[in-house]
Amino acid sequence: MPELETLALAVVRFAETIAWAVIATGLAQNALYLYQLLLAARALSQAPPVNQAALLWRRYAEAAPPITLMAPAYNEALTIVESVRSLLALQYPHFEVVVVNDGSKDETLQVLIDAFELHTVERHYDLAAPCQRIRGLYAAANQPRLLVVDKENGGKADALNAAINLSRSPIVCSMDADSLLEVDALLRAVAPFVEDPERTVAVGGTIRIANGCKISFGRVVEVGVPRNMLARLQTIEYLRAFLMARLAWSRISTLTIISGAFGLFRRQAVLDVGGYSHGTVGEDMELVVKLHKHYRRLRKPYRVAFTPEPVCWTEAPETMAVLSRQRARWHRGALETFFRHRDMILNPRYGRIGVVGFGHILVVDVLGPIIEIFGYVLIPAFWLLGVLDIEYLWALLAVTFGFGIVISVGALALEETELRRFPNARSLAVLMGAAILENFGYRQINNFWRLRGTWQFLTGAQGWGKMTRKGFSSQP
Amino acid sequence: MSSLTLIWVVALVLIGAALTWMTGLIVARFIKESRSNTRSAERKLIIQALSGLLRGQAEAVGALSPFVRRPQVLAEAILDFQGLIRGADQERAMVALRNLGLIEALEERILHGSRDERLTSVEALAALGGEEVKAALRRAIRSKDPNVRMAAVKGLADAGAPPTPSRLLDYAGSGELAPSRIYAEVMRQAVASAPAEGLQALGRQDLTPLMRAMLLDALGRSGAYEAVPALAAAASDPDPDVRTAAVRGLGRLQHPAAAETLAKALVDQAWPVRSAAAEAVGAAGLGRLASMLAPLLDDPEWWVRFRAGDALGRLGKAGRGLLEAAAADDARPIAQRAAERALAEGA
Repeated sequence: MPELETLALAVVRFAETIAWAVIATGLAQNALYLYQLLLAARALSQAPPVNQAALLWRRYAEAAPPITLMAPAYNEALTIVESVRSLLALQYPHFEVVVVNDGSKDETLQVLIDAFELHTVERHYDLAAPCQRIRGLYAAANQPRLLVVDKENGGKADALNAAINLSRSPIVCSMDADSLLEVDALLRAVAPFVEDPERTVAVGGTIRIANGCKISFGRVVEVGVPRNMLARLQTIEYLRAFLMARLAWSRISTLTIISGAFGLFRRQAVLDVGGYSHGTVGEDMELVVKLHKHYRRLRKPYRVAFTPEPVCWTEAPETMAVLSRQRARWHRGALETFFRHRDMILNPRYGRIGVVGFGHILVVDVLGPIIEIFGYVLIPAFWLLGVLDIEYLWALLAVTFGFGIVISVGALALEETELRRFPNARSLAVLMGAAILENFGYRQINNFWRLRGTWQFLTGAQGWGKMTRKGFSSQP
Repeated sequence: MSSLTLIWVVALVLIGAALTWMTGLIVARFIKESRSNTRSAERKLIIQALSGLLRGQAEAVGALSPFVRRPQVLAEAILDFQGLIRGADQERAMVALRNLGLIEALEERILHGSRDERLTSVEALAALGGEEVKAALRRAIRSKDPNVRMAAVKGLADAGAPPTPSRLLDYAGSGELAPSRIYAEVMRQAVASAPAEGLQALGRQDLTPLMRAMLLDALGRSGAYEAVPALAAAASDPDPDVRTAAVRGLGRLQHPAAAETLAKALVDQAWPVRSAAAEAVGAAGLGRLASMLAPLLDDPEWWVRFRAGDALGRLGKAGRGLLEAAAADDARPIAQRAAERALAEGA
């Protein structure tokens, strides 16, 4: 039976190869995370956050450039007035709020007109960034900072393009209508534009989970830990993503994403790359990649910066169904951007952004979920077939989980050392429990969701899926 | 040790390290909470003592003196307090703090404190005011920390004693100060207090286009009419950023002698220069250039069209007449739209 023996040997070798590929990918990812952790720690120690808002004002207010806050709204009639009032109360010397009613089917426009006593106005604008037809502009005599744009529906990217067209400030701030901004968010985020005005083209800010926080009049007034376990796990995830990964990549000029929930951009730079792209659910990432591409091609010095201080709070999904849709969509957006700009992949012409930035997306976002899922399915199967040594498997799994916990605790340590926004030691202990727990089940299921995003990308699925929110008024 | 044991050891070390780290963070939090409470109480005491100084309470000085040995908490409180009071009250409180020897204590922290402490200390130092402080701030410009250097220069400028424009240019040239927006603000203050020196500095051959543009911007904002010829000359510089800054400066000075230069700038190749020139013509009310603005209503660049329309709106009857004519001209649809919007916005 030599054929059988040869076949068995081949199966064993295949099993070993798969197992090693899974282990190598896991270790490579963890090594990458460790590198990010070290970079982020260095960045935070060299530029520690300013805790006092008064100091920020003293340092930056005189030199702060005007900013246009762009708030796209679609069917937000219930919350839009409170959101806009909260935006108008931000502490910043020169800003205007451009609310874009993106063809809402509800009473969004009417409630704005009623609440702020708006009337139609004319404003000279250029259709420099493509957007659907603008039906009208509204302003109020008693709110000179507010402009409401009514336009036909075209999606978030389209609404942001309309706001950019209407803006006359050198800096624009993209956000979600339901984002809760810190009162000094603009002052914090504008710092790179003040300190390095020639090079800075975009600044991202840290987004935090608002679940569990006390919210009043559109502001987080008391930070808390979410009671819902899923939201709690996402709190750790956000810390890792923003405080560690994005800060680290910005440090080495390879940041490829600025969250759509909050980001500052030099208006002219956004127009130079054609504004936000249509036809993608990852328009925030796509814009940043386009900026990198543009400046790399021109060989002009530029900077995409990131501010580690929390500037914006968002509501995290608390059910598996909603979270799975959100994660699949995010992943689809990342893949859309990755393949739309595939000429940049590992292309030295684009410097670090092609090699490190896109290399990272390739390993972590494109290949990572596929290989990991392969591992979860094939390794137990091979073990059942008796072709894998279970003792090694357990030991290597323990190393992977150990790494995972170290990274999550590291991200939490960065928060605790430099920002310390969680109220007490108890909340810290609860989050540390979550940092351990997320390695057992949550990360794995996240991979399945990401795989679903890959499937949606491959099958050309469109749309955002239903995003159900509880709303901030029901927060404790 | 077998490879299996080694892998297990690595795993256990990682897990152990994570758990130790967690425990350490929680213990540290307890300690920090206690320190934070103490610090809040101290700040409250300091603010009370500073308020006492304002009311002329002699014992307030005694309450403050222990904090001179811990200047960081005092520095933070001073910066909070400074925002609340002005004028003679502020000066009285600051004199008392200077007399306590706070200047020396803060200077020591600028030299040996953490990054955060250095910056807060130099800002608090600037808040104290007085000649001694100016000397201390001048010493702080030699700090190794670029943020401290900038804060010291800004402190001097806010105290009405900025470095000369030429000195500021030297700092930027040597890399001691970054050409940030804060630097540009300090340059404006420096040139405003010594326009003649700003003009002289413009003659330097070592200026980059960016520095030249900053200096021109500062000259334009200084209100010094003697800068008009220099700005007019710079409006034909080969660098478009320099030309833009020069034209903007002329617009701010609003001097009729700039008309010829602005007329040339209205047909410049670079659109930022044309846009700045249109704005300047409107700001200076140069009605005789209105006919040159009208063709810009169908400029390929939106900003130029917008500024031209806005400027025509500011030029009174003549400008308005040209806008109305453009708005009625179906043969120029882009100009027509620009004129209509300008009229609507101006109405």
